[in-house]
Amino acid sequence: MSNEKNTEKTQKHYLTSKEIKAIAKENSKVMKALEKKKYRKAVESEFVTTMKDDKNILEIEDLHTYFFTDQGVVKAVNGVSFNIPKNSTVGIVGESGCGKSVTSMSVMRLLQGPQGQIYSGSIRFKSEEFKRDAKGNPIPVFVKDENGADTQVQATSSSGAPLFEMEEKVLDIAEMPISEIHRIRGRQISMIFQEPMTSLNPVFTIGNQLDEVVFIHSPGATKEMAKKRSLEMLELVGIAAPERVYNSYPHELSGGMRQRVMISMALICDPRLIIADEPTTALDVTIQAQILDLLRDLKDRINGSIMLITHDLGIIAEMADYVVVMYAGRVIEQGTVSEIFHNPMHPYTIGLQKSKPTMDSDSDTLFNIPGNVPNPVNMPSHCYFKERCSKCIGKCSGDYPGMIQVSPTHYVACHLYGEEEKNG
Amino acid sequence: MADSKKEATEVIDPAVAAFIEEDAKRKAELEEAKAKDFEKPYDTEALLEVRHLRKCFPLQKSLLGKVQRELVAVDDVSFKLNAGETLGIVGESGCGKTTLGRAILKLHEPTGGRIIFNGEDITDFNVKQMRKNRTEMQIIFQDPYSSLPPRSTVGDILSEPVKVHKIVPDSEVKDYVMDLMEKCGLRDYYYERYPHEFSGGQRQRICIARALSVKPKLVICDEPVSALDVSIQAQNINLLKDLQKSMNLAYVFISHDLSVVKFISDKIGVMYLGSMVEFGNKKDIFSNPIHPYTKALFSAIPNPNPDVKMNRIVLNGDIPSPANPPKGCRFHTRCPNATEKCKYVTPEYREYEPGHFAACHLCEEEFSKK
Repeated sequence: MSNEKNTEKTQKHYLTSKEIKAIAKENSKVMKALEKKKYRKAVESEFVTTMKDDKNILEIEDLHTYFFTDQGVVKAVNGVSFNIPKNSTVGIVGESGCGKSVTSMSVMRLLQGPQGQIYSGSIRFKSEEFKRDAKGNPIPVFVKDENGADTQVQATSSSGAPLFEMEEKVLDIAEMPISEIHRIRGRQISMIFQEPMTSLNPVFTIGNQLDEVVFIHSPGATKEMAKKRSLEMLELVGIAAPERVYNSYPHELSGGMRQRVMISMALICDPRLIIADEPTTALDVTIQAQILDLLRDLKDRINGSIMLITHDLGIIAEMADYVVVMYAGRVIEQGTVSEIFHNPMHPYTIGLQKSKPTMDSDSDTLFNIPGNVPNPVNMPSHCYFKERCSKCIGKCSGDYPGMIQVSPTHYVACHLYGEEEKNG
Repeated sequence: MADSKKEATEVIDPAVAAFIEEDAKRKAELEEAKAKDFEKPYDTEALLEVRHLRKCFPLQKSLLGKVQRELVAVDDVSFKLNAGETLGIVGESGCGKTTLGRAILKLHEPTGGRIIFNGEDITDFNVKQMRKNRTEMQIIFQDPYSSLPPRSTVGDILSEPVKVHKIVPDSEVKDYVMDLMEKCGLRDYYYERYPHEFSGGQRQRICIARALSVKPKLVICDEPVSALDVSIQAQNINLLKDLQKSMNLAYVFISHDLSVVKFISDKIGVMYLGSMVEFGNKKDIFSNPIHPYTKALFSAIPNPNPDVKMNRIVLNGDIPSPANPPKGCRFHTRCPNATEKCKYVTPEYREYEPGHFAACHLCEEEFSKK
């Protein structure tokens, strides 16, 4: 073993305690400021904005989410921008550690503080909220009786929950203080987590956990109403004996059933956006097929949008309308499903598609992308994919490539195509 | 309520009774066939032969240690594997694929059946006798994060089995290990590093190198790539394939990912609730799946092509608990074409085409028509 390699090893892998202390000091300053911002009291005008495109339900623009560790700042999400149009499914693909889950956590504001912070950027969400009177109470909708006069009888929805007047507002989730986030989280954006085994509370019955969501998010809900709604949702997700499941504990259910319960919990408030973070990774193939069928079915029925996070290109091809490909905290390619699958442009997207053995292919060796994802601390300034890329050109050693528009919906961040465009 | 149930059972009774009788007859026949099978001479060509392997785990024991209830994890599995071949085993979680792999290595003591390895019956070998055999059969575990000792360097991890089994003289151990590391795509300066410094893909390579350090003939790969990312998966699958060619290894490749299994295997066995429902050459199984479960399994894989419309056979329900498997054909609770017969009579595991086995009543009828 040569000395050169030894020194390289120490330089690359270990920090001295002095260095760690300096980093920690620096970090704590930034973290304190960001935490202060997170817990501040703010007037609504500070985070009400307008959408760039009215068709979108969610717009993420230049989002930076960092983790401040003692080894250095991990830029888990480093300038991500994409939109989710109404009534569509947007798939986010990437390998582990590429920041897809952190993006979804930023939207839900579920980042583990104080290390995990949204550093900058904006997440605009078109929310539909209760109209509130001067005292801050929701204004009920009254039914007109036969005489045509307003009576004090409140209108109810089909499930028996009281109705209130609603209004549409555009909120910037990244700017909102954490105390206001409950207006959106759970009611309007809900999340299906990856691990159905660990995301249900083991000491409460399924019914208990489902009812709780109703109590919290619909004012004036009674016990009977909540139960009725919970059973309705359990039936909607295809559980054959909702009454039995309602009374059972999570450990009594199988993985597929638990994931169904999770989905019903996510849908219980009729959310406008569902974030499904690897909803089928922990499940078997046949159960996965059931869950995917269910999700597709439900999207049309509840008229919402889905942000689907997965590493399986097959699921994306089947479910999504738009695809966002992420690599090392950045979006490297985005477009419609057919654009990404029939005309992939970024070398990483191409490699990803080739490296998965498919049922139709008969080749002898698999295409593989050499190397690993670079270390998230100390990212290089050039293209992050450069070391693993087989199509490198001289320009790749320069700055990180910007987003290049290939078609009205297709964007790619790669120097290969920038040249072409200029030449043509 | 109770009365109506009684009546209903009484009405169907004769048919059911006939089925139950048939089942009992079949079971008796099967036992006979089994006994005959055990007496057959060992196949000298095959590297590994498994005959009617059975593994039960006790669920409940009486005060005196007598087993009152048991879980049959692997039930009546038979196959042959030649040197240099890969057998892929697919199935959902809880179907007994891992138990099968471990039972072959005798990490679990099999309850019944025979394991013939290299022309030798190793079923009744004790630990000492097995130790000699361990150099010939190795395992790669699923989780690369928990299967490496955190306090040993890569060099120690890889040289320990070499020293214990005296594969090469002590003076040559380091060179041997370095050579092995190169073969497995590990850089030479990794020798002094610890497992925590590596990513999942590299750790799995260390596991592969460790398994191969004793020059085995058979390697059981228990979901070796399912914990890895797609691009890293491809690297490791290619590595496994290259090593197989250069070292003439036989793999038992256990996975739930059908596309990976298809890529690497020569033969494929499909398991459901502890028993093999279909077994055959890769080509036969993929071009002409016989068992309805295999068909459903194939159709459930998402296709990475947005234009292909899926004709999916969606199976209802979950896998029944293996502690209390359904009577008759175990798949009948989820089978889209199950008949009354399937509910009571255990289907025979038989050869439909040369080298293509399956256990299903429906196929039996289909083939008898032909």
